[in-house]
Amino acid sequence: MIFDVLVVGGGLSGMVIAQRLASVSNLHWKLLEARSVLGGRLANDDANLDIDLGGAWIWPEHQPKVSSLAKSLGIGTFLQPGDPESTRISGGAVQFIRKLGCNIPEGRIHLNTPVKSCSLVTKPTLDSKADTCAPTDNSLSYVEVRTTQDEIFKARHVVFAAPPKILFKQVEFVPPLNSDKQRAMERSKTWMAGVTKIALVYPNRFWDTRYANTGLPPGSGPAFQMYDSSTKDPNRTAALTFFTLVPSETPAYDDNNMLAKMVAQQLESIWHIMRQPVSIVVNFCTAGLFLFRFVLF
Amino acid sequence: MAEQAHSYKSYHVLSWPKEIYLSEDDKPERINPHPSPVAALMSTDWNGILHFAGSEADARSPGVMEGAIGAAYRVLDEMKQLLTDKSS
Repeated sequence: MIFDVLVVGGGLSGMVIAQRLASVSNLHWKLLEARSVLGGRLANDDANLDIDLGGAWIWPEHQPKVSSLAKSLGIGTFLQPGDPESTRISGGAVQFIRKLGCNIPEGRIHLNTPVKSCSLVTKPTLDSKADTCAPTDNSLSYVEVRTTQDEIFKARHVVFAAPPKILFKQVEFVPPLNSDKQRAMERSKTWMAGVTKIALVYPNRFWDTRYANTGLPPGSGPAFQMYDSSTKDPNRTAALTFFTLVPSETPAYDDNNMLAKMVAQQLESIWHIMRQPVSIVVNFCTAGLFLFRFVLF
Repeated sequence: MAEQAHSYKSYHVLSWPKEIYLSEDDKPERINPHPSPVAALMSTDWNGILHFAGSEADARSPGVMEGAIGAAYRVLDEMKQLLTDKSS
């Protein structure tokens, strides 16, 4: 069969589309997700502590769409402890994925289904003398999407909801996409792609949360930024989360236990600056990290 | 107080560079700069058959959740005719 719509990618963007498609009664559609889980860059810890290990913050004042989506899905929000400028999602940002998926019928979403090629199939018209230069009639064309397991899905429309750079590297388009788009996809930098996020969970919140959301001095350890990732009720989960860049040639690259120790060591070594207002702490950081501090997720 | 840094009872790690369907480089040497909107990432291709959502393809807030939703709404708008026809 030929589906009306095929969505490639089940992160926040793909799931917003899927939820809408599921509401259209006569529509035939599927969503293909490469990974074993939905959510893309939204993910919680695996111990049910409601700690975001991916995108965490929204800024409702400047972000009307995400705020109203949260409201319409009945998702709660709370202010980032110690930083009233940023807002977090109750239960973690992955709540969006859970709620968006609630009314999607069984069988529409295929996990573990990476796409490797996408080809345009144009049916020849009955009139062999048809002008081949005439604009393509979409009703005669469909797209053949092939997975890495060589499964084929046919569709009238295909929506790609995955990082452009990944599509550029992993999906072959026949015929090729327009050259401006190809170039833009090749150059695209995927936000957060380089970050390793690590949360340390503590028995209680022993720190002063006013000072816990901060950039960290370059050279002080693997983390360049930290924040208080405790849940709204800190009695449920008290945690600090660190954004780290772990060089591949260091043992911590493949050893999370070591990374945790290094980050704790770094926290101990910079403890004195956590006693100062954030604005002073930020002076230790480069301008880039300062920017990072405000625009992250 | 400072020594309590070592008193963590568990740690939880997600190494995004190792997610091969999200990150193109498993050994990054720097953190990517925050993306700016790129029009070519948003346009349809193949005469309106291919659509591009995903946060990086948003016109206003690429990279963040707001952008993921914005790009999704744009694509739904591109397919508005189809969705209207089907629901009628």
